[in-house]
Amino acid sequence: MNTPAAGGLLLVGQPNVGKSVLFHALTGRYVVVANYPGTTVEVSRGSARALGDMPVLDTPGVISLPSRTGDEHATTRALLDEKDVVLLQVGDAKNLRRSLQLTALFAEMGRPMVLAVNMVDEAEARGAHIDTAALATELGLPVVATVATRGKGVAPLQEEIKKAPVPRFHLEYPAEIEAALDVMAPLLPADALAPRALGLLFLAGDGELEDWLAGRIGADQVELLRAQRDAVQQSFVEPLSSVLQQTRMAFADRVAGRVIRAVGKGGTGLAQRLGHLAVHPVWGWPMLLAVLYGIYWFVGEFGAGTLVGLLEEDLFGGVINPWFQGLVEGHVPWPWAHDLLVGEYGLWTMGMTYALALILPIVTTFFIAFGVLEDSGYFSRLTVLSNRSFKALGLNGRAVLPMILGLGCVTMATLTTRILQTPRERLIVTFLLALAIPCSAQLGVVMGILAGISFSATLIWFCMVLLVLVTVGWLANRMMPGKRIPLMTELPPLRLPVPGNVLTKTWARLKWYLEEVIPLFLIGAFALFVLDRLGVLPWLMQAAEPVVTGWLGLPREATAAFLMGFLRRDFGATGLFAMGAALTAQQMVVGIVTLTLFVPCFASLLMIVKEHGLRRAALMLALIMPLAFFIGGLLHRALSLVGWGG
Amino acid sequence: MPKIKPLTEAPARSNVHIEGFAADTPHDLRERLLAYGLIPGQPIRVLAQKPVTVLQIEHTELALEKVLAACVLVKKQA
Repeated sequence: MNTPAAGGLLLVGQPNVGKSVLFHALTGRYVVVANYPGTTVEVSRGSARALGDMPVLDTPGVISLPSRTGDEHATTRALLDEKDVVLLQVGDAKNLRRSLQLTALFAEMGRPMVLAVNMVDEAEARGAHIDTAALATELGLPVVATVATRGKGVAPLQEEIKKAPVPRFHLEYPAEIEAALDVMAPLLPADALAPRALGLLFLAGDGELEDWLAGRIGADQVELLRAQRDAVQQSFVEPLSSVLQQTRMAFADRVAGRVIRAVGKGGTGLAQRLGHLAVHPVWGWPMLLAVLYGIYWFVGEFGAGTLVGLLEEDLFGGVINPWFQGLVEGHVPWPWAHDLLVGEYGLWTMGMTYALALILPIVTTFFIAFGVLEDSGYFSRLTVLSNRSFKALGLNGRAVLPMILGLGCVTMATLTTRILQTPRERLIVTFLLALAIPCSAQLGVVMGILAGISFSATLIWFCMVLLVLVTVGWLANRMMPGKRIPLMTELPPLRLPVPGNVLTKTWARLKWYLEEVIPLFLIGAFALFVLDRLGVLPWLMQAAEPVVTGWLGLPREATAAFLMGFLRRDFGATGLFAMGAALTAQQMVVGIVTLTLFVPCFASLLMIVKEHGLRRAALMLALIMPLAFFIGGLLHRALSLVGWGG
Repeated sequence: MPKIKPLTEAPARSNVHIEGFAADTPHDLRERLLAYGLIPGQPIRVLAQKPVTVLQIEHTELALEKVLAACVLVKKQA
């Protein structure tokens, strides 16, 4: 029987199997995808034109259900709340057993369902062929083989989605559990997922489901269900969730054995050997250094050097700005308007020039480099390599993912801390992100400035920030109660990124940058102009003199840069850059280190408030600001002592 | 009869079978490992033991820190 899918299509599956890539292929709406588990942490929505504008929902990956982390809870919520949806499970052809144990649960939810077995190309290259027709027969639901990154299998998939049936699937659990499910079914709401599936999730102890049920059928009924669960538990030594999981796994093992055929011998290719080298305890490190140097060269030398030189000095400084200045001065009669548009803190000369000529080329090169690395699968390998270093911070290697993502955008990274298992880990990582991880825009400007001074300047900045990161992380680990979670993670294969996918991703991020950053730049430039006009800026500079000049050893004008840093840290760094020759190399390094540690940008501050509450956000700020100035002052004294001047 | 030993003691580049889990393995960890496909009887290949245990199961790779890998019991492939 065909159910009309008014509610749309819900993409579900394990982490890093390609749900978001398929989402993009189906909807044309871009969500950030990358080759590491945990890229999607919230449900995203789009609509598929080829399916009559059917709504499509992309969910964070779940390793198994019941859900355990914040992002997994979001998936359970979507399964419970989205009405009349077709389920599209995305599975990994390289590990079919794992995918099938989830299928066994999804297929009993009473929703029409299709299974996409993704990455069949990589499975074949490793010597495994999956007989999708046989699999479809075993499961009683349509199965389509896909290679989502190259759009293979998407058309047949759309056809199957249009006519997807509710699977006739039944997995028999141990008799005691089957009996309990029968007793529980009448107590459960009948208008959401099939009561049998709800019962299975409830027996497994899904907390998210219990909250949801309390709102639907009342706490008393939930109490009855709990009593039922406790009664069944008496029949088993192991927790019910383990019993259920074992039943599903045994099923998956049986089916996988019947549908996987070995083809060829699937030897180790170059990519696999490189992948092993990347996590090698010795060779992994030179490889990391090579990767870092590659980024430095592409973003620092090429982006911040060559491209900025062409755009800022030649195009804007030499052609556009003089022309625009002439235009304004010739046609606008009010002198204050000259200042507003083309003066020292002018909307055009400061705001637009910085945003377009200085930062745009830098973030573009960074986003390209970042996108290539993301899709290559290297970041996951870094999880393993860095695991020991993160031990000292009370974290495991998985924390490297939000940290690296923070180098792209700290705001996004703060959201991504949801992939971490405990609130303790999330809090430590969020704090370190806010303190010591510069985002791509800021990083770009900083690299550009420092590369212009000397390599040792870059090295001093890097070591200072790293030192603060490690020391503060170590202290946070010591002071916060709770235990560290050991590392367990999948390592996706290294891949040659598809250029089209990297460019799409770069463009999506640039669009975000242009939309979010340019208005802020203009607001910042305008605010400074007003403050300057009202005489507040000179007064502030006066007031901040003991700290800025006395403690940090910077000229008082640098106060303006710190003020801009409140809006965005890259904006602040740009302010320092603009002072150019007014600063010595030493002052520049001190200023940049202080700004790097200084308050997180406004958007990420809002994100911290959203994720951790106002009290914790305020506490973080209260710790970060004095610390940044303290470190800056120390560095100033240390550099003066050794007489470093570039 | 090959000896049953913790995964941490299987040399790198060796092929073993999953035998089960150590008795003191917490249940949530056991479920996670199962969910990743570490089912008793399943053949796996140990790829590395440093800096963490890396194993290949079917055609995916999984990294496990020592304390976790020590919970997995394996038997050398005949």
